[in-house]
Amino acid sequence: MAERSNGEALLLSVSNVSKWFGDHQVLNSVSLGVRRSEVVCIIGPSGSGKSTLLRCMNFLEEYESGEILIGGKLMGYAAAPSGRRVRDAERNIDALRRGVAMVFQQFNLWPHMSVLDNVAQPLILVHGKAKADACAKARAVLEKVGLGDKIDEYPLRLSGGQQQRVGIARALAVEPAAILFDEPTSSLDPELVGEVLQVMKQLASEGMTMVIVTHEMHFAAEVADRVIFLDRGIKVEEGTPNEVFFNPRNERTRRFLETWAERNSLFAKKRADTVQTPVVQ
Amino acid sequence: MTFDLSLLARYAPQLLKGLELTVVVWLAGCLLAVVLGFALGCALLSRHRVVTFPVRCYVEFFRGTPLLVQLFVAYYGGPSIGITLNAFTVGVFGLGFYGAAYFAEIFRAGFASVSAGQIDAARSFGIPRGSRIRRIILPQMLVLSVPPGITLLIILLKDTAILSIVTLPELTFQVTGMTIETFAFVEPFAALAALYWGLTELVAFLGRRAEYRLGRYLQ
Repeated sequence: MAERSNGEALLLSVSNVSKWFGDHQVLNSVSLGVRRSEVVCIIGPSGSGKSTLLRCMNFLEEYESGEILIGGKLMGYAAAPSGRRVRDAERNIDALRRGVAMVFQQFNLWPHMSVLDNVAQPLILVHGKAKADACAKARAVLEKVGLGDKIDEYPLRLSGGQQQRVGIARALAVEPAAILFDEPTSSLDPELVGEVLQVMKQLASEGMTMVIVTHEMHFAAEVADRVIFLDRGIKVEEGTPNEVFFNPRNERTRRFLETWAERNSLFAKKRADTVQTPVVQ
Repeated sequence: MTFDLSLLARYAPQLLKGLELTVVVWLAGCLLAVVLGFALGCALLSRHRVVTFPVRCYVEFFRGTPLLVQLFVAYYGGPSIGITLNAFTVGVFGLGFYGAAYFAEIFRAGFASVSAGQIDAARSFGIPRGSRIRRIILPQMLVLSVPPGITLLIILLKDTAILSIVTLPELTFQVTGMTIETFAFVEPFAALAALYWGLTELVAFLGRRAEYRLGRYLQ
């Protein structure tokens, strides 16, 4: 079992989860626990299994061994009479998914529905709300993410940043115990990243439990309670942002962060050297 | 050379009867083609080869052989194995089975072009499979199928002309009869072309409107 601290039950617990795509092992005995109101950021190179781990938490991917518990209940599997575990009934999987909403890199909005419908439909289809109640709730969360004036638009008419905020509103509307973010800003123009991170910061400050796969190191350093570094399917480092970013114990983490920092400082230096500040005469 | 309009006026009743039959056999055939094609298209998405293989064979056979040959076999070959069908039945089922093969591919492609990410999002919220299909996949699949579907409807409309060879007294059959009786060719075939063209333009117009209205979210 994953560790418990403060005697508080874990909202989400991943223990010794392994997963293979064919011969390729994408997750190698990964464990982590998430407590209520905690913000956990998962960083690491591309192909390290970050997104796969997140998708396993909502059972969009099956995992071959280990356990993922949502509120103490095993996600995705049931014990067969033979003692081996089998895929759980879809009804039970869907019931657990209700507690954990997800925000995707490609937004994954439903393009044929208005912005309001995108947010209201899960409430109607899954949570059994009446249409009027669902729309009222949807309107409220869309206001919250600053899109109160876009409710009748179709998603494809919005900017990427706006679409992702609809994605966040859709996740918020179902009042989940936790929200999983799968690289929420990776497909956005640099200029649109800020508005999405701003909304996420606000959620964090309001005590929303969040697990975030991200390449935004500044954001992770500022918002995360805990940072996890994943490399080739192995959790190689876990700690507070200070520990992981500024005092990493693992050689691989250090190299990853150094490369990142070097690229950033080279860019900043080159800009400082070449961009001429207009001289006011 | 003169263009004798009075000739067309004289034969107007036959031409209109032919036109009516053309429209009826086309509508009935298309209805069958769409319904059967939808079922076959869904079957092509199955993960089980026992389902997809026979459907794939069906599609390949009906797409791979000329409609003319299929009609000949059904109408003239049928009696030799004890199946005698009247011309109208052969017309509707011939057109329907033939069109279904194409519609199956159109619907299959429509299904496939709803992104996996959208389905993931629906699953992640715990939206059950039935609702996912009804509320997310089907509406988009139908919209994506409209443009190729309209093209196919137009092709099938013109293909009804082939039904004259199984003695169905549709428009082309009537016009052929008219040329034999009057030895006039220009007037009857000009009228024939104009009537088909008028019908296809009407279908295309309605199709464009449907495409615009249903696909507003894509614009």
